[in-house]
Formats: sequence, C-alpha cells, structure tokens
Amino acid sequence: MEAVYSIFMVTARVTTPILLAATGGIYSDKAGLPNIALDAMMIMGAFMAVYGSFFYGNAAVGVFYAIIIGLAIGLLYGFICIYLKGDNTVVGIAFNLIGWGLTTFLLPVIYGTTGSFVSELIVSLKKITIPVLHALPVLGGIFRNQTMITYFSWLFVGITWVILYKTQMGMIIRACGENPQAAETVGYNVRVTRLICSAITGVMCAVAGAHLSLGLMTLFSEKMTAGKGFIALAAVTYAKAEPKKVLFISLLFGFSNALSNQLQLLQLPSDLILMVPYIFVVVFVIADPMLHAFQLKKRKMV
Amino acid sequence: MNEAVLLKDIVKVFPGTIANDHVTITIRKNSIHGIVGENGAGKTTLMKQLYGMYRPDGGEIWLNGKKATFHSPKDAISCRIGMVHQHFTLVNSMSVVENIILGRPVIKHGFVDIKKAKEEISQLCRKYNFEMDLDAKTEDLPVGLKQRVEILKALYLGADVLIMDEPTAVLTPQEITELFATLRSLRDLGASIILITHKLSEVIQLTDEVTVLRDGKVTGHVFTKDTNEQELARMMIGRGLQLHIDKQETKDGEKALCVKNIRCRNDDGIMVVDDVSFEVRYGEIVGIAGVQGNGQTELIEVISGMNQEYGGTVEIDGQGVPMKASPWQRRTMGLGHIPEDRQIQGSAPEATIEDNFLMTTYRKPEINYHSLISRKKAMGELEAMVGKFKIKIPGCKAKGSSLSGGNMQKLIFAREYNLNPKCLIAAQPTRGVDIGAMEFIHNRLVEMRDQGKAVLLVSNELSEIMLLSDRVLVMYEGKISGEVKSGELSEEKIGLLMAGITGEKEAQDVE
Repeated sequence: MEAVYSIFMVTARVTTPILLAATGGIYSDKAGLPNIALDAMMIMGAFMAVYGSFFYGNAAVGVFYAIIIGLAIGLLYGFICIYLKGDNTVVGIAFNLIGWGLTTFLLPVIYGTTGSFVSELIVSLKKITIPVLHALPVLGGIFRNQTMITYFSWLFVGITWVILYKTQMGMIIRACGENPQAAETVGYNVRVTRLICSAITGVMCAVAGAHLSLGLMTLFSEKMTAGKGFIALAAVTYAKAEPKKVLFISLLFGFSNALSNQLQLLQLPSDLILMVPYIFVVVFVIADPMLHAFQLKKRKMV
Repeated sequence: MNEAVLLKDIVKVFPGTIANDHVTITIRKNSIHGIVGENGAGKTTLMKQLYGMYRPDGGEIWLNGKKATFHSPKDAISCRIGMVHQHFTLVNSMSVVENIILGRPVIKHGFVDIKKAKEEISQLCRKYNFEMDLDAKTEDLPVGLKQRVEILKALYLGADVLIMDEPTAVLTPQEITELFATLRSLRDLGASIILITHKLSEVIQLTDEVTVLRDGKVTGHVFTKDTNEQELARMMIGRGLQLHIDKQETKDGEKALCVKNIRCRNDDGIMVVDDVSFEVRYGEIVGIAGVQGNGQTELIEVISGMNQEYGGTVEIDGQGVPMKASPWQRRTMGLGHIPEDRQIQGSAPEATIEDNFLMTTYRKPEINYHSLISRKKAMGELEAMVGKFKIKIPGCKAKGSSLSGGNMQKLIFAREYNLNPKCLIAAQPTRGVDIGAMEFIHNRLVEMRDQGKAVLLVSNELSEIMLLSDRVLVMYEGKISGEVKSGELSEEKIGLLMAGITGEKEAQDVE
C-alpha cells in the first residue's frame, strides 16, 4: 500500500513542472502565438528562484523573483514576435539557447561555482500535507508532502478551462488564435491579447522552474530542466491546447516517470528503466493517430 | 431626411493606384443599394472605409445627416454599421451563439451567460424569421448558414446599415434565393443594405438602386427598375455582354474519358457518389450541372486521382487507369484539371507566381533536365502564357496572393493549357471571377473543344453550363438524374433534374 501512495505522491510531484508550463503554454497557443521557449522561461525561473531564496533566506521571495523574470521574458518574447514581427520559431530557438547559456554563465559569476550550486542557505518550498484528503485510499498520495506550487498547478488547469470557455477573455483569446480577423472586425485588439497571453505563459513556466529548483530539489544545476519545457511544449501541441488533454498527457508522463522511479528498487538495468516514461509517450503518440487513420479508412471503404 | 449614409468625394490612394477617386454615393434608408464593378474597381476598398478598417485620404462620411469619423471597426459598429465580409470572420470551433455574441457578450458575475444570450438571439431570430440551431458548432454548418450567422452577428451588434461584400460568391442557388429573401425582409423591417457584387443578374433581382464603379470612379447611378443587365455591363466594362459563343459543329470523336460505375464515400462514411457512368468524347464539352453538394466535388476527386478509395473504373484516352494512380500519373495519361477551389487546391497563395505556374509544368522535359529545373526556360514559358492569356501580374516573383481572383484563375488555366491535355476537367472555372476574365475563360474552353479536345465542365452556374455545353449531365444525390442533349437544352428541364424530379418520378407522383 505504501508503494501505491508513493507512486501517486511522486506522480504529482514530477507532473507539476510539466503541467504548469504546459497549462501556461495553452494561453499563447490558443491566442495564436505558440510559444516554443517554454524551456528557456522554465530554467530562468529555476535560476531566479534559487537566487531569491539564497539571498533573502525565503522561498517565497524566490518564487516572486521567478514570477518577475517569467513576466519579463514572456513580454519580451511577445514584443519581438508581435511588434517586431520576429519569426516565432527562430526567436523561440534563440531564447532556449540563451536560457541555457545565460544560466550556465551566471552560475560562476554570482556563486563562484560551476556545474551546480548547492547551499544550506537556499530555503526550499514548504511541503504541505492536506488533512483528511491525504488518507484517501489510492489517490491519497497526491495530497502528501507537496509544495503549494503542485496544488496550484492542479487548480490552475481548472481555472484555465473556466477562463477559456466561460469568460469573455477566453472568447477573445480563442477568437484571436483561430481567426484574428473575427476578433478584429468586432473591435478587439489582437496584438495586445497575444502579448498578455505571452506574459501569462512566461510567468507559469517560470513558476514551474521554481518548483524544480526549490521543490523537487534544493539546488540549481546547469540545464536542470532536462528538456521538461519541451515535453510541456509537446503536451500543448499534441493536446491542441485543450486543458483536459494537456492534463492527461502531463499525467501520463508524470505517472510513467514515477513508475520508473519505483522500478529502480527492483534489480533491473537502470538505462532500461529510465526509458520507461519516454516509451509510454512514444507508444501513445504513435498509437493514437494510427487509430484515427484506421477508423477513417474503415468508414470510407466502398 | 431620407439618407442613411452619404459618402462624399471619398479618395483613397494606395501606393501606385488610386483605389477610390472622388466617389460620392448616397444610400437611402430602407433600401437595398447595389455597388457593382469589376474586380479591382474599388468596391471593397470603399466599404472598408465605411466600416472603419481604412481611413479615407480625402472626403467625408455622413451618417443620418451627421459627419462621422471612424478610427476602427469599433467606431463603425457603435454607429450601427455592420459588415459581412467576403471571407467569413467566424471562429469555427465556437458555437453559433458564441460567434454571434463575440463582440458584446452577455456577462453575469464575470462569466459569459450563454443562456441569457441564447434568449436574446432567439428573439432576434423570431423578429427576422430566421431558423438557426444556436448550439451547433460553426464549422459543421453549410456555407449558407455560416453567412446567416454573420448577418445575425451584425444585427446583434445593432447594425441598421448592413454591408454585404460579394455575399453570393460561395453560395448554392437555393442559398442565394434564401439570402435574397432574408435581405428583402431586413429592408422591409427598416435596414439599409449595401450589396457589393459583380453579378449583374443579382443586382437586377434584388436591389432598388445601383451605383457602378470602374477604375475607382463612379460611372453610373441608376434606379434598378429603369435599367437592365446590358446597360449596367456597358457602364461597368465599357461594352455589352457576350450572350452567345460561336462553336463549330460537333464531330463524333473517340472516347477521351470514360467512367463506369463510380462509387465513393466521404469521410463520414456516407455514399456520396453512387454508380455514376458517362463518357466524354473528343471535340465536345460535357457539362455536369447540379446543386452544390450532390456529389460533383467527390466525383472530380475520383477522376483526378485525389481520392483513391473508390469503386468502379476510369479510362483516359482508351486506357484503363489503375485505382492507385496518382494525380500526376493521370496527368501523364492526358488529363488536365482545374480544381474547384482556387485558393486551397489550385494555387499556393504564399508561393511566387512563377512557382505557381511551375507546379504542374516542372516535369515537362523541355524544362526538366534530370530533375533539375531550368528557371530560364520556365520563365520563357510563363511569359509566353501570360502574354497569350492576357494575365495581369505585378511580376513573376510576386506572391500568388497578390493576384486578383480572375487573374489567378487565368494563371491556373494557362498552366493546365500549357500541358496540352487531351481531356480537361474544369471545375467551377469562373467562380468569383469578374466578367472580363469569365468571358475570356469561356472562349478558351470553346477554343480547346474546337481543337478536338474533350472538356468536362462542372459548374454551379446554370447559365455557364447552358452557354458552353454540348451535352449536360445532371447530378442529384450522388447519381446522374438525367442527360440533356444539345438542342434540347432548356433551363426548366435541367432545373427539374437538379431538383431530383425525373420523368419516372413525375409519372409516379401523378399516379
């Protein structure tokens, strides 16, 4: 039983950064300016979170610093793509490379160390166990020893769904993404909408990064996102920016990750086990469209 | 005070052209005002100024006797002007209600109140006698209903001046009839409607007065009851209309295209072409008439090889075509194809004009040396064709999207013509094309026929089918509902077949 609790606890924990970044990415994607620099904003967020936490001895300040840097990068990304007409892909790649490069460069400049920065002065995020809910059978693990960011990430998917489909702002966002002319001809400003969405994406990715460096671990290391921003990007793209599907795919990845963690206790080759999450995703991504193609072909048979 | 809108001496200059040259138009209240002109005459530009999308370089706009200045569509909307654009401005994934209320949602406690909005729109629908499934997803609607959503959207925002930009270009004949009824009832309920079009028959049918534009200038203003198509055409293009095309006698040629028992299903699994057989001989134009959506599109997809999941056989020039033969293989057998959707299938708007021309031409041995394309020779062919077909292009390296509909269609036609096909499929060859280009394309089709080539013409325009065809096949619900030979052609006969009323059925009905 403890193993089951543990799997769900870890699932929730490792899903968080992907889920939060992907949910943030939904806004940009739906508004018609898909952001491929999720990873850059995530690693900058992770870096600034450690910075704030280390110098002020307070994890909340770290998260605040992450929010500020996320907001700044999101706005910059939007400004370059929307107002300076920068190409989305090129700008995104540049941002990702700069994200890795800049954090690697700043590590020795600020802390005088390379590779990774560990210090007892970095305060990590408090782990909270929710009373009552943590005792739920099977799923209880989700509510044990999690950071506020994890709980927020679950809430935020729901909020995003409500915003997109139940509010005027959501209607405008969707209109801007699908048919900008439709939004323009009834008097909305497409550029401003996209800029705001880009900022939201930036903030959420940076907070996801803060969870990496102050929640999952208490350190900053080079390229510590390990491509999680790209997995989030894949989740948004594959889910066509639908919150429910984004949740599902993020969970699929998080769960398989947790599963492989558990399997490590068994005496299996570790390389094999580390493949598990990727195999899950690859199989799903291949099988799903194949199924659709097969169904279409069956319908069209003469 | 009977004028709803007064456009006074409007001037709009684009780099290199004067789009509107001191245009003055008065739109009376409770009337339908037609604005006609060829593509590029400045109709849409003029209306975009009235809707606040462009700002005039000179002149004034007056509404109900007051001068108005618009900075954006928002200002125009607040002055009760609505516009239904030629390309719909709908969000496909949204429901009908959401699309209608997009500009001014009903908000309750910070959330959009769909229920309340639905009530309001139902009232609106009752007032104007519209039938509409408000919960339907917009992308699932047929074009005619999508347009109705656009009209409702404008009415919901309070429009009493409604600008309709080429509203019939994408509609089927029935949908056009319905639209006209709608517009008439809107007028009777107090709206002023501006109809932009280049189809003269529609102007005569629907409008109360007409203003004609040519090269950005007003060349005529008349009351519809005092005029006719010929006179309007003269004001519009400076000469009369071509009502008849001289053709040589039909020769009894060999079979160029022969299809037998064609059947196919659409993506939803519905049988859309059901046991269709016919042949096209050299030296004749066979027209396929029918209301849009009765299987013509799918039939063409089968013959041209764009859909390779079908039953039955296709023969080109006496040779059987394997089912899996690609569109290109079919072209090498002698098939030419002008696709019905110019923008999606016929051309690549973002590619250059040269590349658009090369899209089928590039495999010609004169141009292609071991898979390397000679741009120089290609350019030569393109220039020859541009000259021969009198295509107006800004330059070979300009984007395809810079061409007007008529010129793009001519380019596509020229491209297919240049491949020298034995049998040409021309699907909606003049859809959305102005009169000059239309007559040009008609004459070329007849010229190809006279040279002994076979032409399969698919068109929603009955007048086009009547004018060009030697034989007419009518499609109804995926089947050929009848064939009318040259000499027996009459609009009534074809019209009945288009509605699915064949001789036998009539007899049964009488019984």
